[in-house]
Amino acid sequence: MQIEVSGITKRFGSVLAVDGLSFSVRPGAVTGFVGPNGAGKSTTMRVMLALDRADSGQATFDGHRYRELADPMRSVGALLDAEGVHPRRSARNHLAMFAATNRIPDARVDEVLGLVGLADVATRRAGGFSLGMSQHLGLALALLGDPPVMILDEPANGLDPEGILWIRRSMRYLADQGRSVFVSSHLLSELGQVVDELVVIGKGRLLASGSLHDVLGTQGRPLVTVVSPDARRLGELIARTGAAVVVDDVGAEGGGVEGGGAGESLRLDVTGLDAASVGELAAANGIVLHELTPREPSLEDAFLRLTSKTQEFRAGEAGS
Amino acid sequence: MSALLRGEWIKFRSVRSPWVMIAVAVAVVVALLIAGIAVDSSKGRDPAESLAVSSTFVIVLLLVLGVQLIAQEYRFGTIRATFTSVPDCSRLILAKMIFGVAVGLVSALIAIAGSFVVASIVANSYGHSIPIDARLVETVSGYVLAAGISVALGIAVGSITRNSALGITAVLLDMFVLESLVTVFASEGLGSVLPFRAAFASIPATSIRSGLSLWFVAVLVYAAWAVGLAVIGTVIVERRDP
Ligand SMILES: Nc1ncnc2c1ncn2[C@@H]1O[C@H](COP(=O)(O)OP(=O)(O)O)[C@@H](O)[C@H]1O
Ligand SMILES: [Mg+2]
Repeated sequence: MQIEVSGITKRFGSVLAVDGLSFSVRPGAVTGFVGPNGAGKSTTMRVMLALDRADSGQATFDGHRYRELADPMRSVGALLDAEGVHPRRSARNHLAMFAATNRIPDARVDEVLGLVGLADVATRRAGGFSLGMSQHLGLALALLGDPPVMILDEPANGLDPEGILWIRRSMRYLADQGRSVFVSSHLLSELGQVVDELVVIGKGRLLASGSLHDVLGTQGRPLVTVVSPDARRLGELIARTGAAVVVDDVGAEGGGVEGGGAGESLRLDVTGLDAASVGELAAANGIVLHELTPREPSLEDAFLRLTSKTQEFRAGEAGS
Repeated sequence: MSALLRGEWIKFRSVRSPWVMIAVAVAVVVALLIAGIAVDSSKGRDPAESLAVSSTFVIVLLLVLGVQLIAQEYRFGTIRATFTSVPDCSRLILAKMIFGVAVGLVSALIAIAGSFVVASIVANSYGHSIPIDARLVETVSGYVLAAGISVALGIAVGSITRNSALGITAVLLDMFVLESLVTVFASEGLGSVLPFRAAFASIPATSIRSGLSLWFVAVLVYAAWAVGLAVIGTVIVERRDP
């Protein structure tokens, strides 16, 4: 099932949560929906599922809006954040009540409980479940209708590394079966190598979309990490060359400048200028370097650069 | 619609609190009827009046149950999954209301049937039988219908308030304060078409005086309140993001 999102805009009072967002999600692929916290991922997903009413725009599943789908759980499976369970209801009954409304056979309830590894606790009260078990139950609910589309909002939340691996493998498996898997995360690294396509948003707007390589095509662009007590000045100088610079507090990273005295030491992540050029630039301007490391471009770097999570230098700001 | 009703039934039967409320309601009806007969054993008290005594409590309890049936979904966060499984909220609220009416009707029937069985045994032991007359039949009919409507009305209120404490407070305020004020300070006529006045007028043996002399007209007025509030609730749910 092909998902088309076109021009969705959603306001909450004065907050513009989603701003004219358009993208598509194709079957047979895992599409990562990434952006910093507050970027509007959950809101977009709620609009797609007709839970929130968009101010404009719409989402369609093979041309149909969510509300037009008969027995929607058979077409779209959803795992949203802050999804609840009555604490005194068993996992099996929790699923059975939704299966009933969408004409899904009761036998499927036990099947999905088995799939997510909750068969042993099927009759136990869901109130006693750990965060991980609750996430698994949420995934069971999404799988209940054996839907061609899966919409998962931060499914890795609250899971241990093993659980995250399990989620990744499940998504890969579902996509390989030809389903459209649309999954959000504020950390691209959490999704890891499992995503085929990316939709990157920031402040409700589309920043980039396409295949992983198109979006994060950092090949050929050198990546360098620099630590310097005079990082701000160096950052401005580097930015003037046209390279991208993201500044990071070393202390916050737990990096090794304790005892250096200067709490000023900052780490710069430079893209588009190689280590030699950075070193020469520093020397020419009499700037001391504590570290100068060329790095392999990672997904997270490219993602951070796209979403500019941390403070970014701009050439125009030099000399302030 | 039958699929939605089955879903509501599973929701209902799979937690304990609604069963507790219904058990309490049934117990109260039975206990009051028996008490009425036992206390007044010499005369053989009118069973319609004994039934009427329990009606205030039962109606309040069933209203609270109705409010809970929807407010609990908001409280525990299952409402989102409920709406993703049934995106048409008018169908969802309609299903809840129909289910609520069924719950109220069945509970009241069980309570009344049960209490008559027990009461007959008690009455027999005193050497008399329970007189069944037209007024008793009307009282039972009105009682059962009012019980069904009460649960539906509670659901309608809950769809507007989303919160059980707020919904229950609204119901109690209206029942015990607002409607009395309107009846006393505005007009008896206006007061008689308010929901709970109508509810009690639905049960001919209740002591509350009402301008609605025909019990089945009162039933219709009470039902109209439930439907009206449900329409308002549906419009609000439609506009508001869950
Ligand atoms: N129900 C709501 N009421 C008001 N503001 C909201 C609501 N939901 C989200 N927002 C705001 O909309 C923006 C986007 O939020 P959200 O979609 O949750 O982002 P994300 O899922 O990407 O972290 C945020 O600024 C958030 O505060
Ligand atoms: Mg979110």
